Amino acid sequence: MPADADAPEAVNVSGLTLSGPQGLLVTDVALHIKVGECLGLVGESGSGKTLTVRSIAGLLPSGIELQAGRIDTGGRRVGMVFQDPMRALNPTFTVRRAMREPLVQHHGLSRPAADRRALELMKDVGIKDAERIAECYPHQLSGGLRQRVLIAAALACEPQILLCDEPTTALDVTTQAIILDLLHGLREERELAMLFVSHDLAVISKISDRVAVMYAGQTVEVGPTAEILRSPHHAYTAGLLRSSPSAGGPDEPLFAIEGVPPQRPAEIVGCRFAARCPWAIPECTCGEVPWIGQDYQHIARCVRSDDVAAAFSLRVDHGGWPLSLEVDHAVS
Amino acid sequence: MPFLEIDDVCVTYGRLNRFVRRTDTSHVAVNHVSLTAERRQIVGVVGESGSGKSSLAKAAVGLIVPQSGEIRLGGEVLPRKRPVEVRRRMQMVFQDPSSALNPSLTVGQVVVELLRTGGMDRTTARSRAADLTDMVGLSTSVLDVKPGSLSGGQRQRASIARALATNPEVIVADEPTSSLDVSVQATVLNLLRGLADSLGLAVIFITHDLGVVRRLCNEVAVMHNGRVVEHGPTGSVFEAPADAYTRQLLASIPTISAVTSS
Repeated sequence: MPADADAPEAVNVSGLTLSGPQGLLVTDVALHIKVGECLGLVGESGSGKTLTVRSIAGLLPSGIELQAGRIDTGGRRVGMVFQDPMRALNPTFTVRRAMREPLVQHHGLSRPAADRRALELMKDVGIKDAERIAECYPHQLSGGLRQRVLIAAALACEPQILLCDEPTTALDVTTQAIILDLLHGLREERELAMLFVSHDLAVISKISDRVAVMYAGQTVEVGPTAEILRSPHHAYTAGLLRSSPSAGGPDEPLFAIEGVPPQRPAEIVGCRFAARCPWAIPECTCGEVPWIGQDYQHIARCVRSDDVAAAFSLRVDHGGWPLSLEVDHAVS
Repeated sequence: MPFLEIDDVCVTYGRLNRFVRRTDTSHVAVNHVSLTAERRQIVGVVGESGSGKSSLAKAAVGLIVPQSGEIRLGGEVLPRKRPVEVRRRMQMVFQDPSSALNPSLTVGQVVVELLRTGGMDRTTARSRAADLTDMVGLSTSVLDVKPGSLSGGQRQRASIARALATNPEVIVADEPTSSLDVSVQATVLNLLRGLADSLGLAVIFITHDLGVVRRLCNEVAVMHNGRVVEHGPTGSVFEAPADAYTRQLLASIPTISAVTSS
């Protein structure tokens, strides 16, 4: 469920530009997330989505610099859930010790108090025999349990903003559904502002109120989830939707976007997707493509957004893709 | 008679005692599994981590020796210790293409080496390698490049080319697209489908993604705790899953076409 229209903004990122040794990696990214809202950030590997999330958490890897832009979280506490729970947890620490550290360091709790709080947090994320799990090392736990521990640790400092960087990519589908359900519940319960990163639009559609699509270091489309799925305004989003295995009949060949992402996207004049785009016209590569969209609710950086949306809805109307137009937020 | 037959195979793991014999065979990874595949057929094996699907794949290509059961190819029983000629008939495509290719060799060196051990001379091997890269949709320039400088999708295509170098009749693909982006995944899947059709390969496709199975596989076997709990043509398994675990698995696929249930 979408957050209140007049809820305050928890995260406001504008003009974010990051550079690394090879040049600009992220250019002019703008995102905002309201309190109690979940924004899904989708894009291919290398599109800059992880760097964007890390810059909000203040965890940019060394060598990557913030060139320009403003990141405003209004002083809210930020928690982060990483992709690979095996690497995010110290393999030589028991769960108890991993959980204790932030509570002692940041909340100034005594060790016994921290341990009690850790058990509470683990129960909050649905770990039933928390006392036993607390004594385990990460390698003794299943992927799903590790991810729960990581979520519990992220909640230890009572964040108001939760950043999730592909939290379910390393998990099985059945476990993924459970973790998505858990994250959804936590967001409702704690009114978290959530940023959920994935390369899979299907996963994003399960949990996000709004979606931002990144391509080659830029955001190319932002809008409410249901609208983006129903009528994508950017050719890349349309391609991404079509290439999902769940779109299309069983006998149709899978759709693939032609070509590969550009090596040095920042040097491209105009639309960065133009070289792979079936709708591209000379105008696309003339100069900076403006954001197009009537009401700033659903905007896209695409010259031919109307044609893309029309072509897409035509396919849906003709039963080309069995895309249901309703998005269900109860993951169940 | 089916082309590839996996008949009542069991794989167990256990501790090795000091005489390097398996003493504790309590962990049964694959429990009496039978599976068949015809030429030009892609058979999907789905299940979660720990369900034994990768162990089954490794047993099929001969990377591990099954505890019991036999594997037949074209009617002949494959020996427990497989000679090179037999191993060349079944090839594997691994999950992570970055660790499946030798990082210090160029793609060309990897492929040519395989062709040369198959008895080809250098020039024929070179031109065959070019044909193979062409077949998997890569430009021949990748032959001179090390895997490190290829993208994930290109790398997976290169490792498919490597698998094809021995002229196999069976390809066992263990989660070949799990480490790829959704947009790249489609190209690799279409490639596998095309190769199965054009080269008459039997493909065993291991995955945890049922959405992929629906679009790619002729048949599907669902594994749970080392056993095949359901097996049949893809269409009928998806439309009328008989097993409770299959239903649970089907229910947890995240689809974009999420149907309102609440």
